[in-house]
Amino acid sequence: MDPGLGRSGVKVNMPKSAIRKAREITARRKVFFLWAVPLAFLLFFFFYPLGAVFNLAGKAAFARDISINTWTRIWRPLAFTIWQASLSMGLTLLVGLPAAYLFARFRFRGKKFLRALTTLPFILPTVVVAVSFNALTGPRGWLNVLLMRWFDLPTPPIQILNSLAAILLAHVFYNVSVVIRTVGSAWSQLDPRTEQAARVLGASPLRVLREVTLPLLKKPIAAAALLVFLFDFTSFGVILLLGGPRFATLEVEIYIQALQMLNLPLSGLLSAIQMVCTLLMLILYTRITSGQNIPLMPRLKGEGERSPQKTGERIFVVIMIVILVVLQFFPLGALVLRSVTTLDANRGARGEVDTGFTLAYYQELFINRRQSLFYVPPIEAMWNSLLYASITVVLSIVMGFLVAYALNTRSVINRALDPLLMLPLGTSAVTLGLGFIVVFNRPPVDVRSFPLLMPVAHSLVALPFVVRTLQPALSSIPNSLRHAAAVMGAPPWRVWLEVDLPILARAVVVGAVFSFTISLGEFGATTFLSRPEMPTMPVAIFRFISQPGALNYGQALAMSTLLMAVCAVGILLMDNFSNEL
Amino acid sequence: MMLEVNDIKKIYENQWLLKGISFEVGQGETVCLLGPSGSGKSTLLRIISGLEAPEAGVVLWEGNDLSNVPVHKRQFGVMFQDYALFPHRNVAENVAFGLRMKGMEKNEIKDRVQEALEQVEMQNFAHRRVTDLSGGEQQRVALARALAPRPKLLMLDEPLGALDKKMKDELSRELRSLLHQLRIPSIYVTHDQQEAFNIADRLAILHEGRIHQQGTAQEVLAFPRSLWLAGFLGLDNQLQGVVQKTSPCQVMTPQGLFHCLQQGEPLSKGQKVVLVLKPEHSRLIKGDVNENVVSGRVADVTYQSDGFHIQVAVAENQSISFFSRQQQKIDESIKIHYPVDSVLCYAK
Repeated sequence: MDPGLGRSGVKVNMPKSAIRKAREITARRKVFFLWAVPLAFLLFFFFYPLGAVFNLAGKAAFARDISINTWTRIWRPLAFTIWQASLSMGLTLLVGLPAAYLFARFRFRGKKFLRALTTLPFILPTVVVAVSFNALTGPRGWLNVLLMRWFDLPTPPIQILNSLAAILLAHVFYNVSVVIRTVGSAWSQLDPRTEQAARVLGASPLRVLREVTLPLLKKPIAAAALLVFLFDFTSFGVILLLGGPRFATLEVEIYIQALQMLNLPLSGLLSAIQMVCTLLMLILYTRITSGQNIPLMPRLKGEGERSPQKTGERIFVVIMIVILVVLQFFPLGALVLRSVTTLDANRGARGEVDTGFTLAYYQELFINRRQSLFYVPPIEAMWNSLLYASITVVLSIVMGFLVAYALNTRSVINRALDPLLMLPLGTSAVTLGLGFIVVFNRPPVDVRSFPLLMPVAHSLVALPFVVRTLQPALSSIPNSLRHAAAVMGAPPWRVWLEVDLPILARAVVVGAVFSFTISLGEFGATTFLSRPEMPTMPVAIFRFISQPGALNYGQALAMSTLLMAVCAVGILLMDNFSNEL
Repeated sequence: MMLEVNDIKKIYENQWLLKGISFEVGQGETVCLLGPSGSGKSTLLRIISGLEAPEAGVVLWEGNDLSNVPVHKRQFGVMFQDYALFPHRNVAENVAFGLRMKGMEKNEIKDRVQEALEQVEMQNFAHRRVTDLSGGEQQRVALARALAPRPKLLMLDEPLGALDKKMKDELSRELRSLLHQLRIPSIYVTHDQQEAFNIADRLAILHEGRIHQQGTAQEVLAFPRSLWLAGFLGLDNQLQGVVQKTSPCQVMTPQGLFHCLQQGEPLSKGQKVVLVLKPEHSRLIKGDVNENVVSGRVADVTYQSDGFHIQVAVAENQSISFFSRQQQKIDESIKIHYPVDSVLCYAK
């Protein structure tokens, strides 16, 4: 009871707790309404297909004809997945940790550019990465072409494609940026004076690393390693395109069993196992990253950095820069260059190859030749991709808004529903695709309407990112602004238009570009849902690269370059806008 | 002389930060490096400890050039601003670090750690996490850690910076007695002159990249070398004037004629100067004295624990501070006399 009210003579019967409860109920109603559509979306397009997959898995696991053979078919891809993920993680750390040290402790010319360069691979579609490595190390790629020319070799000397080495290389290429970002930023926030104190107390530089730096970085390193392991574990496009038929991880095996062997139950079982593994890793990850107790003193930006002074330091910086540039830039550079170069086999001399600049591959994209794999010219694949991407943007932005507003209101419902939103991120896209074809292959929906589901699948993946972009921007708008507008005569819709929207504009752009690029590059779920008459760019690239013939190869390269260019522009836009968010 | 710093020059962010620093520290001496923030004091400490290399100049220890001696071999002790304690180790392990690096026996380490902690009165905190300690406690642990390996030279970088006034006074007195007891040559860096006066045997004032003045606290306070230093040391009672006579120095001001002591470069008749009025031996007078006298009206009186701080308005926009045991009435006319030795004359 509030005694103050009573004393003034006004009879007030409501205790404070009741007022609070009334507010909570109004909030709850509002939140519920906002969540309604996104929740329905999630339930129907995510949980329902997922449930179907688990159902399949259950049937397969308890089927009467289950045999040792089945379990071998499960164990082998699982073992290989763990094996290649561990190797990839190890190699990534080997490159990534010194790179993190480089960024955290040194100042050098071109640092900003190098940092941007190391982030680019991470957001590129897997097909582009795979094709880039092909363009660099494949039988028709630069290294082989040049080596064959210089040393007069009859066959390509570097046979790295379709091997474990190619997979590992691509994974390191992809994930180095994770280590640099996570470990590098934690490292740069370490008080350099702690290390200086150790040095003054008599510890040699190596000792300082062992006694002070690494123990303090234990958590970020473990978190980064686990994240990298998770990404390598769920890798699909890279394995499929660079590993070739000999290598199958869980994801690839799911794909093969579902689409080639038509063994849906086994596919479902593999999916379930994969999801359990991913879930365990995510739990472990949250355990590790919670409770960071390194005292992070507010530091001036770049306080721990210095220009390399001693010769040893200079050598280190140069070597690391070279490694990073070679690793991150060469494949992409190779891709772009290769897409504008012809290698005409000289009819007379065996193995001799002519090179020349050409735009023929790009021009080919607009023509439909009779022996083309598609019923439509490749340019249509690009239009399809753009169409799907646009729909994805609309879907994810609209729902993102609803969810962002819901999360912005204080209510218990949010605590329950917010984690649900994150689940599609942790589920492999392949599993999602599998779920779709299981669930949506019944009348009134059938195989032909699969393409319509692609924007849906893409939106599921993009939605968490969009929400995570919109919500902080939204919560930064003080209510007083809205109140001021209302007091000055603006009706609610006008308040939204004049106050919320302009302030959120930047966040909306960032979210839109995010979902656009995600949709453009999505490969895993798309392989399940695409039809020959309505392909997307990644699928088209996949088909082209798997076929012989210089023209097909060239077109794959040209398309990949275009896709890469669009993604790069998108990232630049996002960076530009989000810096001023 | 144990430590000799010779003509150290250092560039920072494309500008000369240290333009030629030279000073010495003798056995058992505490030298205080006093200077405003950003003047390069911490950088100088890093150079002496070997964490950074200077552009020019040498650091000598007992006559030996330390340029090729790496940080971890110099056996100097440093107490950092912000303490820089190892957060992943407890108090005893922090203090033991330097001893472990020396390769001491486990039992010896244990004893020495205990000794060091007793010196700073932290012996009951041996197994606490350093992140659980208060500012004052962390500071003591940092000191114990620096002292445990018996360093040849101790450097303290604004160690009392993060503490409140009461803690500061208490700890600065403890530090002073501890340093004297241990007879370790020490360099104490701070921007707070009160701290410097409390702790130092000798002061070295750092200004614009050079040592501006060296000497004991009394020497520096009695005759600051420049107007800047007078201001830095808090001598804010200043009058503008014109030189009437040069030796002995006489200056005419709006307040009247002043006999004063000339500081710095030689002056010439008619030159514009600034007089600094030091509080020593100044007193209230009544009567008809009009040389070396400042007169005005009492503008404000503030009570302090041992007297009154009196603000005297002497001209349109100028006031003089004065300290008196007796309370004065606001708006009362007042006259303050400054003897010759308390009036310093500087070129403008």
